Amino acid sequence: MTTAASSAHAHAEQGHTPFLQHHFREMSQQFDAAKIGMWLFLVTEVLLFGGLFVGYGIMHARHPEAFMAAHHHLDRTLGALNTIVLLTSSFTMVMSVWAAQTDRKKLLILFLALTILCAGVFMVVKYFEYSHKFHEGLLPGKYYSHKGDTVPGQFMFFSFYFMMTGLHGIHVLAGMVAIAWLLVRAIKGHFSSQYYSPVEITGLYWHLVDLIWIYLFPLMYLIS
Amino acid sequence: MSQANAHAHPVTSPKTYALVLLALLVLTVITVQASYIDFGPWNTVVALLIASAKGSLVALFFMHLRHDKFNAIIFVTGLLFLAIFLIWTLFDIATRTPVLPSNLKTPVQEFPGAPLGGPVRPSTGQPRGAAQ
Amino acid sequence: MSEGVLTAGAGHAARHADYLEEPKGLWSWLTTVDHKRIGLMYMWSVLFFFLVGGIFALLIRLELLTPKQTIMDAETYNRVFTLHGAIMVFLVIIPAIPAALGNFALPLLLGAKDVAFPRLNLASLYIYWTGAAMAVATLALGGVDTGWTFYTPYSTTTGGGVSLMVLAAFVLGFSSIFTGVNFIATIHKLRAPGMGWFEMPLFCWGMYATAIIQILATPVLGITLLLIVMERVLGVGIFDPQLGGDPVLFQHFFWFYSHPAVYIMILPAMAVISEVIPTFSKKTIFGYKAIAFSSVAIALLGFLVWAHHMFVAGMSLFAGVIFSFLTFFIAVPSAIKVFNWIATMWRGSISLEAPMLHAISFLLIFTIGGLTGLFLAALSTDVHLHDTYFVVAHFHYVMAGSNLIALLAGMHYWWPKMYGRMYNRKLAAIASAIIFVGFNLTFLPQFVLGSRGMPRRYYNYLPQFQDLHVVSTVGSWVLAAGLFLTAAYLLASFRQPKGMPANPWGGRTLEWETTSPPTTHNFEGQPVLQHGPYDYRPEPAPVAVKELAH
Repeated sequence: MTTAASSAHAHAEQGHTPFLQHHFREMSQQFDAAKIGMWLFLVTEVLLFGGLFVGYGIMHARHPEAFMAAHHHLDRTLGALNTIVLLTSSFTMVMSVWAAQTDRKKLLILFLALTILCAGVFMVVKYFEYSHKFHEGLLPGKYYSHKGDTVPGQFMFFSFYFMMTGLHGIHVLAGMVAIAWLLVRAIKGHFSSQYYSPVEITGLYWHLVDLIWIYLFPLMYLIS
Repeated sequence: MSQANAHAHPVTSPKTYALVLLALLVLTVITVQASYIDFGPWNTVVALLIASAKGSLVALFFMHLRHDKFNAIIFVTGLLFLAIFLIWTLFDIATRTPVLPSNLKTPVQEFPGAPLGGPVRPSTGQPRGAAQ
Repeated sequence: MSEGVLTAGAGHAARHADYLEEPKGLWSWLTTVDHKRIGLMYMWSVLFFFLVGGIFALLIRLELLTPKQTIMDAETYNRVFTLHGAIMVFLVIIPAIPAALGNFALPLLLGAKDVAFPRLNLASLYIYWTGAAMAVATLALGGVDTGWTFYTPYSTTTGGGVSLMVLAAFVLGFSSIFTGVNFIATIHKLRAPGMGWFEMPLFCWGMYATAIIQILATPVLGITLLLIVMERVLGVGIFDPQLGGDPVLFQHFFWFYSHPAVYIMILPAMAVISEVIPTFSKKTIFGYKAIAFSSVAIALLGFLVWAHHMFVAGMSLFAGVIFSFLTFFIAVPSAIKVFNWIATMWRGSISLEAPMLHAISFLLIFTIGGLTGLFLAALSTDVHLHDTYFVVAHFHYVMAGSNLIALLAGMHYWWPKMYGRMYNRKLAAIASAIIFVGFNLTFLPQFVLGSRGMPRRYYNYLPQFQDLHVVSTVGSWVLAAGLFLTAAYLLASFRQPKGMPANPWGGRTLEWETTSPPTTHNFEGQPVLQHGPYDYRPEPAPVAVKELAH
């Protein structure tokens, strides 16, 4: 059986080739594959967090008074602030993708840095929230030691609070590391309109982290 | 060979992104204000609807799903199966009443002599195996 | 041996170095991104853990020779069957065909140079090794005695290495997810020009359907395992009735993954069979689209039925009825496949080589396994059969009998491509017969034991069950003998020099159009599809195939 002409020639025609991997025929194929891969990974994240949401929902339905009472310990203002911070970070992230798409290297660097900054603010606010909880004994499960509860069983709310915001926080930290790495590569000039898929797919991850918080915020802080 | 990236990946303008951010912030304010109003049993639904509006904006505009039907299908499929997980579990959870102490008409007390935390017959409050 | 059949394009006598030879050295293997090398490393890892899990199985069967204590005490027995199950499920059957055979063959079948994300593939392998090490390390912590299903509240309160084992499974889950991500992207983006969705080999459809499950189901296992650890460490309360939680909720979380997981196990097995049967019947597959769509149907339907594992767990009757009703439907696409494979063989030119012998074993064993699932799907009969040896027999027929034998079929099929060598085909035929006999001797009596009331995971049993237990144990020795014989002749094949032709079996899929073994880049240039994957019509004239005189 004959085989088609070697793709070696085709390679040389592909404009910006240093980042074209050998098993792809062209950059657009590689870019599309990267996006598919990231979206599939995001689906796994949806189901991972989703499990916690399902558990939370069921336990909330089983113990409505305890959950209602418990959530009053959360500070809505801080929660709203964090929501705003994350939404803004999503904006700066997608702006960094736009900057890469339009060959604006300086803006790319700026927006990536702003995204990390917003994420940092989020974590700082989180730190203050957590410290307050620790101080009050509002801890998960068997470590719950808050005094003066009129409604028993509030420990379970805090079990979920810490598990869900904790897992989310770990994802924020991981995102910060990934975006910092993008920042380094951006400064080195790796990205351009020919090749910016790492920025795009890290952006997708970051938006998902934001999406999860968009649901976490009302369910934990606002339901009454 | 053409630079395939340019036409395969439409560029959205910063103005659009800024408008989306504005909408998201407005919706955040709305959801916080809405939480001070008591819609009764609809509280959760209202909150989730607003959250979903925000989520849709993020997904469609920031995650570029507006131009990407293929990956949109992948994402929606994930959400669909999460829904199946919840709903199918509720087929069970929502159709049985767990025997929690607070559900019993006569609350179960711990009797002196009963083992701490040990198995207890709900009807008599006596430890299992104890003489009737 | 001669060079054999060469493709017209290659043209000359000098062999390019194949992927086994170049690059050289252990480090080049440990840092490879070549899907073929990664596939082989997975294969040997999986086979090693199959040996470990198998030894535990033999120990279980030895213990069950007598109704009372035979060689171990009850605590140890609990740990042995837990480890047998956990190792076989998470370290062997779930990864085996996709990660070993899938990694090796998928790009070749698609006419691609590699999978979409080669570095992710290597990461997947390292994650597998990490999870495996963690699982084995639990032995140092006193083992695990919860059963591989980790039911609460026992798993959240018992001592031993539960948290470590559970975290090991969590880590292994990522290996599975990354493989799934890689395969879906590969199948979408790296098919050879001319290969539409309905021109790709059915093995690829099987891998695609499997990958869908890996992506959708595994994360829920992930969160379930994390919740077990959280319960143990923090006392979260979600699964503990004393704290207001629900232990049956754990089972929902667990089986949402673990039922689709069994389709992660069987779909790749079916995928191998779909390749072997047409090749050794020299006939095109019957009902290509039916088989392709039924793979996806099984993957999707498999998500709707998990609580058939929970009929007697304390679930509501309403849920029981729904899940039982839905479970029956899975039989339909499964049966469609079996009918189509048999129809493929009908009036074919059957060649009883080892891969085909294993495939035929598969057809018989899978039919029994699948049909006995129906007894368990029916609410009324399941009440009696749940947690008996009937269940044990059923799942060994589908997991061990079907999946394992399909793995053997695939290994025997692609061995010449992997290593450029052939094993002793006569011994292979004998071994496949021994395995078939040994397998049935081990597990057929267990259906009877179960229906007569022998509970599973029981260390002691009533004396009237001993006769069948003895038969089953002897069967396990026969099965072990067949497997050791297989290992022996496969290892012996390395004593021959490489020299297999590109297409020793006369297959029509693209992997047979490159050398055995292939070069690192798989093909010279980009293959373009010239004919369907199961096109056994006589060759249309023009392409002259040179054959070196031997």
